[in-house]
Amino acid sequence: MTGTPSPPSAPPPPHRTALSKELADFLIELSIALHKHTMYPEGHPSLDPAAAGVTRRAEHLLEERATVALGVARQQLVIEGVATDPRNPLLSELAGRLHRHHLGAITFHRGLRVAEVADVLRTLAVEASRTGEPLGLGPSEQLRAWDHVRLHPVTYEKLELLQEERTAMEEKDSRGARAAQLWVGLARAALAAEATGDEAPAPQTDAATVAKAIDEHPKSAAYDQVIVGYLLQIADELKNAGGAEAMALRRRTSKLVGALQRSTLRRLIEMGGDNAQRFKFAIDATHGLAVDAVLEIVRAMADAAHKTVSDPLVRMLSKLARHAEEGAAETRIQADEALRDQVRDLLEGWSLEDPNPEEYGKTLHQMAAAGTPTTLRGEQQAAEPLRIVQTALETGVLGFGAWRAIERIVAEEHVGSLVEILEATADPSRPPLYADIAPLWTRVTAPDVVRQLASAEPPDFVTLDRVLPRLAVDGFEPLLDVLGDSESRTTRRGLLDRLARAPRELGPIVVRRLTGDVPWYVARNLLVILDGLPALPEGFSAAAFIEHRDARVRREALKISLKLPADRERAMLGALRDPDPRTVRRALTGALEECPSAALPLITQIASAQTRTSELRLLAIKVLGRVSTPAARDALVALADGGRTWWGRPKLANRSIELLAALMALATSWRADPRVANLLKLAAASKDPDIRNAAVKR
Amino acid sequence: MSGDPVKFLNSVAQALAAMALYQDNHPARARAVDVAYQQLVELQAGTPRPLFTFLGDEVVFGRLPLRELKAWDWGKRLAQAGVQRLEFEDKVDRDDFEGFLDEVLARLTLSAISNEARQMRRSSIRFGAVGLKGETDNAPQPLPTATISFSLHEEVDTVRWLQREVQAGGELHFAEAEAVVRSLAVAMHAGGARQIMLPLLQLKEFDQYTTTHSMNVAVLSMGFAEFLGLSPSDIRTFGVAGLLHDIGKIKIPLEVLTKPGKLTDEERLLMNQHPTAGARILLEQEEDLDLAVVVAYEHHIMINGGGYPPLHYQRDCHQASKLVHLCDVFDALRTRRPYREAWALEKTLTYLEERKGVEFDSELGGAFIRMMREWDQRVAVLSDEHMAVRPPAAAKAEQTGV
Repeated sequence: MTGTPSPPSAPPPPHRTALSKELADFLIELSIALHKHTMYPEGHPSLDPAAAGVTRRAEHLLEERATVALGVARQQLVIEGVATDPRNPLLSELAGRLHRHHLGAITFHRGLRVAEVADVLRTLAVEASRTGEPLGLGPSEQLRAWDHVRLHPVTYEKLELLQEERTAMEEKDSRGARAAQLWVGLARAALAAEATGDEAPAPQTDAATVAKAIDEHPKSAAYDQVIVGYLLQIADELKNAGGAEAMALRRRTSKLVGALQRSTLRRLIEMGGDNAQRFKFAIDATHGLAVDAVLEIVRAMADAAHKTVSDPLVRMLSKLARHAEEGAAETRIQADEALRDQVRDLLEGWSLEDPNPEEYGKTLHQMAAAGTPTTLRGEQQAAEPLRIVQTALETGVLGFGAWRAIERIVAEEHVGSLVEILEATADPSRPPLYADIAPLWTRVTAPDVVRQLASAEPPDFVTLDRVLPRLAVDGFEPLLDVLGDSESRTTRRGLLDRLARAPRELGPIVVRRLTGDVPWYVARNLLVILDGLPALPEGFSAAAFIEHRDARVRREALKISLKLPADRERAMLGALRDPDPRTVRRALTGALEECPSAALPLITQIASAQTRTSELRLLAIKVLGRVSTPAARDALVALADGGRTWWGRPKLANRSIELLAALMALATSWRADPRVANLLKLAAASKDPDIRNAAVKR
Repeated sequence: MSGDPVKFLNSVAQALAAMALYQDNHPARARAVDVAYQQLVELQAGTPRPLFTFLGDEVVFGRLPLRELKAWDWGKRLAQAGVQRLEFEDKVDRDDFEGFLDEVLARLTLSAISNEARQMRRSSIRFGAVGLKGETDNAPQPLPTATISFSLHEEVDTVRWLQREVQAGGELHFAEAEAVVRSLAVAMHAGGARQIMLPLLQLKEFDQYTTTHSMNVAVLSMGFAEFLGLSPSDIRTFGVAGLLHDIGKIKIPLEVLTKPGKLTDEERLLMNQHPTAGARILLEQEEDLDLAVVVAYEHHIMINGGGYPPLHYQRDCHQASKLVHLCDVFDALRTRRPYREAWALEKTLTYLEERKGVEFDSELGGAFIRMMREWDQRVAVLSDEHMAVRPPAAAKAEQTGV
């Protein structure tokens, strides 16, 4: 069994790293169970299931591990090299409770029993600050009272006053104590010292002894995790710490890394949390450790990441390391810096790679969106993405570089310039191009690009018009989205114009969007688009909108319904009764083409209603003139007939524009009818030239 | 009666506060010191040699953290003032105790207290920063003297390897190229960070021209970029672009590359394809080599639109391409070729001057000529890649025995 005190205090990780779900579940279960044990009296029915739950989670973890080690910091727990988020209230409370007991770690071992866990929970549930008897300061037997759970105290020995020859500034550096404490912790963990009582010997802390202990320790995940936990914190500490003790920590850790066997270092790095945390450790190490240790870490990282570091690169790095240590005074600093920068770039390059191309693509996209090139380059002197695309097209290689550039162009919202160069490819007077530009067209007509063009303020209609003829149906969907969302009338009008040019396949998509409770303007716009399509989607009916509460929607629905034989008559009858004059006019216009007989009474009413506008009445008269039914004739006659004079002679109705229209209609279609003939005769004899003209045969 | 470490520390804090408030002879001050001293005496009755450690939020008495003083404000203050450990011997007299308080107060208030005074007083109270027991790691290590010299043979070997790898159809190893450039930058500043020099390799064998030339163009490009005041990251990017500008030549048969006489039309056509070939190689790489792509492609295009390759999209060359173009031509003319001797510096610079505004960007051309004249003494010609890179003046002095 390993006695492994954990790091005394874990700094909050700058990069968020995630625990595996099973580890997180275990910690949360433990926290909840401990909380229940603090709340309920012994024998409470909630306590046994809580202990059983923790045991079950632990057993699950122990299927793949011999031990689960849990490091304790003030607000965080460290498990498998990952520190928990100090902002997580449950885990932070658990960490705080254990910390108040002066515990540095808890280890759970295979074979765990519910009764043991229940007893441990009972023991830990006693609040240390209330009793004033923290477990970590109590007798060591109490910490080792269980077969498969072990509590480990934190320790403070091995620290002593430094010699006096320090500068005031160094003395002021309170971080020195932490550096020393970290190293003692690492040494103790490495040597697996229990340190549970005064009789326990203080650990040897020289780097070679510690390295030897780590190398020789039988492989154990729990042991490695705690070592890695310390290394992570040391790397983090060294990144920023100054002062003599930090320098000493740097030297000790560098010696340790140099003295470790390559396979051990690799094992520790592989153990170092998830990918992000592992790379963070290595990158921190490049700041803080001596150059030869940095090289060792690169090699181990390469092994762990399954990367090959070529012999020439090793030679180059070794050369820089050699010159950083043994070169001329002027060269040393620069070689040191060059080596660390090179290693950092190398590691960052590895950390970017992902076997999942989709993820890699996302990363690229994010970087492009952020306007940052893959690696840090001189922004001022960077090659413009458009130039890269031009070069790629001219050389015929649409490789990584070209696509990266294209994504930057998209992210920087310069698609117009990209479209311009794509259109210029057709010019035969220029030197030939070798690239297939079809994939680029696909990219610039992709929905995200179309959305970008449409939602810009103002929209980039120039570019949109260039890509529109190449849009697939799904490319129009973003236009529909923006149309629905935009508050700008100009944008909506512009988009409606363009959507009217959409292919008929867009119909079902538009119909789908019409379902549910859509705002009136969306419904209106969608109906306008449907009306503009070369053909309406099969089976579509606008009947549901004919009685819409908003007249603007009803009008558009009517336009469509008039095109659909099944809906036409019903729609027209409804529209002729509509209080909205524009709807009525649309219905009358429709009736001019074909008027169902059922509509005639309504049209006759309109034609004769004095309350209606002249425009509507004239339109109604025109419809009546086109319908060759006696009813229509009678309606026209009624409009033209003015009854008789005082002397009993027949006369025309009073002069009006409606009279003229009625006469013209009668003259065109009913000239042979005796009643009509009489009226036309009266008109022909009229002194009014307009009336005479209206009665002329056409 | 056995004392209490918590009470003692609190009394020390009160004494320090009183001392900060009252003058030396004030009775309140003396009273506070007395109380603290009394607490110490009582404490020492049970623990003859009390020992305190102040670690951030933690106050440790012996090996026991003092729960009551968790996050004790004075603990943090003392630690920040360099009092991380406080040790008392068996017998402490009151004067010594007051002297100790004085000194701590001086540290807390940043008032000067001479080291001399401290050293003269032998105290039974020890305090200061803590470190590890029994190790001498803290001693500053002497700066080692240089035992190795900087040559460019690893860089040359790496560039050859890079070219071979690409030639064999493999990828271009960007990390290695960047390491070469970083190392060249170190070599360029071997005389000191502010004292640039231009270590240029002399061609030994004609078939090694591309390697030697690439290295030299990288050095010249970085030097020129530095001369123009570009940022360090720009300088490095220009260095990589310079190093890779002729990478397309690996696609040209060696017999054409090293042909002693004039090239036939067909050979010339082949040769003129190297910018396109280079750009293709670089564009296929996963790494971000944008600037290198552009430079490889454009470095033979003249400012008047002449040169090669012909462009489908008319555009000005990138600044980096114009810069590398100058370095490229300069190094080519200064190098002995199978069909001619190396040009002298003056003749080369005159040529560049004449071609300004036609082949080269006028402004950049002028700057380059100025740089080469100003830095003439900083060019370190290495007849062999194994030669140590040293400032020309130092090398000359060594040769003449001065």
